[in-house]
Amino acid sequence: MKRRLATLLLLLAAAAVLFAMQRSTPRYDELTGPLLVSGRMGQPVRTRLFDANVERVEFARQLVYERFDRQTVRTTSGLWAIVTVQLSARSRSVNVGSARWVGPQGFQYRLSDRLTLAPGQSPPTVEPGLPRRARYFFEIRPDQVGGAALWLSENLAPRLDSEARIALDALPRASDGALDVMDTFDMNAAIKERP
Amino acid sequence: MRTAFGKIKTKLATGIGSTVAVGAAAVYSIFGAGPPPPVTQYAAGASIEAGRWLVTPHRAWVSRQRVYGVTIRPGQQALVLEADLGNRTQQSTASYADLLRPAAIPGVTLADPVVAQVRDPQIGPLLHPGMPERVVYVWVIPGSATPPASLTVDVVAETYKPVDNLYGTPGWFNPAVVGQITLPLGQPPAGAEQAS
Repeated sequence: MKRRLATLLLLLAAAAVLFAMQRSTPRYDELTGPLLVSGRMGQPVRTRLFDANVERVEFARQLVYERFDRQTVRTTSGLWAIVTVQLSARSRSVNVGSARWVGPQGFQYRLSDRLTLAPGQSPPTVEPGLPRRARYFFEIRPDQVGGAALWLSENLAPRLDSEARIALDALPRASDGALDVMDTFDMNAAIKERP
Repeated sequence: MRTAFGKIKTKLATGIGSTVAVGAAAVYSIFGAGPPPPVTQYAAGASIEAGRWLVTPHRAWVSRQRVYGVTIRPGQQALVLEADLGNRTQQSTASYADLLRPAAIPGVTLADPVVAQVRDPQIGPLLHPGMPERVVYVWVIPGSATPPASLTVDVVAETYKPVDNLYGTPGWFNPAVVGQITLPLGQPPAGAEQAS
């Protein structure tokens, strides 16, 4: 009787261990996922292929630019978030083409694709030794502003490659503490500003 | 007597699996042979949860002119459906082409729709989480075809799987019809069409 009970207990314990192992096995996409490099605004974040330094974040209700000599206005149901980043390549040319604005609940806003032929919207390619400034434009919900992060990488879903995750913690504030939102952001004027 | 009874018992015991299998197959074929369950019907203004999208159809019309930046060539016409699309997922995506599937129109093979955003008209935009946008679905059909009196469209939804069977990654799978929208083909709203 005692022996039987012991066997039963052993069996249950084995089942529990196997269940725990099955549940805790990392999945394939976790094993081969991005290697995270965390940082904050205003300090360089060093990944395998590039260094990124988020200079500032701005918000606007609409974007204005000239296309074929015609004024183009881009409105949104939320907010335009404009992130200015200083980029430098480390060993080879790199296109830091994947940028995501990730809100506090984990919503991932990819780069807006509504700015075709806008000035300064060529791919953000950086050459080694030639640092440059890139501007990323996102369409976000107003409630995704606080506690957000910028995820930067060469490809959209980096596999076994580093991804910069930069906390966006220095937001533009008016003197009364409210978020500073521009009515209009002029993209033509913005590209004249050189690093 | 005892041996005979024992034999029956053994036979039953060994055959119980196949008996259950045969019974189950019979039950499934009886229920499967009946008519498919009716699909939920929706009209304009209904809010439909369809997998990763929240769809609110508004109106439909037939167009022979450029509509929200989508070119309709001479000799062609288009079935246009206007709806609000809200992204219910965590990520910006543009995977809405298979969401609406119109019922077959005699003599017409329907191509994939062109989807255009109404705000600052743009074709195939990314839609962002929690930011619904007004879009139009445009199905181009030959100009000689007779459009039906009303447009019937199946809403196809996919199901979220946290772990798929092949790579163990999360994704959206198994498209299935979750509803049917019927909209009368009426007049386009002001500003929808431009001479092409």
